[in-house]
Amino acid sequence: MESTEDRYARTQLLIADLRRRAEACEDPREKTNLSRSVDSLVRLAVALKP
Amino acid sequence: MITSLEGLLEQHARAALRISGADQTAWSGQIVEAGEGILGLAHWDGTLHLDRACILEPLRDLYHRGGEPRTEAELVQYREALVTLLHEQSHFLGPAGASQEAARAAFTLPGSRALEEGVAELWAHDHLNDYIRELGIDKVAPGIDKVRSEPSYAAFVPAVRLFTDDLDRQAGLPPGETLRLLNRQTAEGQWPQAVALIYDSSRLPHLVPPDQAPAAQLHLEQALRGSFRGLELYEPFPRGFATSRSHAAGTRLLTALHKELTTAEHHHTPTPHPTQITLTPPTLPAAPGPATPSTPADSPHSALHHAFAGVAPPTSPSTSPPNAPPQHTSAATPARQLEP
Repeated sequence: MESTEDRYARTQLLIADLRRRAEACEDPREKTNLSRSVDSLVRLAVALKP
Repeated sequence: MITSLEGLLEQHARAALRISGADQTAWSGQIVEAGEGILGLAHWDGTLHLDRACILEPLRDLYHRGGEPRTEAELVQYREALVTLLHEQSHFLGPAGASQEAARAAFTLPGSRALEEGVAELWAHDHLNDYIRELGIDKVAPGIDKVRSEPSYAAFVPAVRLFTDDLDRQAGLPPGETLRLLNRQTAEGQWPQAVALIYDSSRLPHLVPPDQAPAAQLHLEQALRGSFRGLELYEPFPRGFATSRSHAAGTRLLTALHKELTTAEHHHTPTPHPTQITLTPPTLPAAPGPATPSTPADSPHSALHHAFAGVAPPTSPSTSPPNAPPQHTSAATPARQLEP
């Protein structure tokens, strides 16, 4: 069972990865799709924050 | 009539509340300019974070050029800003008494994020024109209700659409009603609401003993949560791929869900007690002499021998008929995700 701390750290890594992908995106729709996922993961990270 | 961005921001949450039919919004009334590459964020403290370039500036332009003709690209840009605004307000909606603390805790549970984001995005897109008309934006930017924009959250939206449409059909609800019901819930209530709809539209309430109903619903919820959690895997992928994978996962999930319900219904359906066959050898009178046939064709035991011819004794005790479904789905069975 993954601890909250580990899950928080994994979420932060995923946020960083998706942000990199969004920044490198040329298609605006792809960029928006990735950025919205980042928004959602940030909301999750805040919820997980100890 | 709203004539400025400030006026829109003042009215937008009440309009979302009106068109959703939700009891309350957790929005604190505060809007913060978003940082760190965020487009829109409904923060757990009740503040709304909006990106300047993608949300606030297009909406300022919307009123700055009120009534002027716009290009289709400009109208689509306004729509995208407005749908993000409505999506974020959807996160704040809830039933009377719902708390952000409980919603925040529930949002971290498996499958909560995929369902909540999918519901918010689909509902916001489906009801964007209602929102636009409610706020009088169709008068400010004529033609805005005629152009189309694509949903984001490609990993979640197709599966949530299939799931909620199926619930509408199973529960005999008008199209879109499940989505509306789930949109009025916070993360705390969304999965219980969805599972209650599934459960109540099956035969299970008539078959499952009342004391076992909560466990049966919990089993279903855990299995569905596991399947929705799996959708997160598709988030980093391009939209087309994520969309097709989400659609395929949603289809598999529904197939597995219906199979699970059918199995559970069979499991709880009372069946006639299986016939017990005991092959007790008949007590035959002692043979009067050697080498006589044990059951001559005309003996009183002949019919018994013919009747049991070919019947093998049971190899193990069984209380189920041969075609009975596997006996699981009880609370004691560990939940598995429904996606095969």
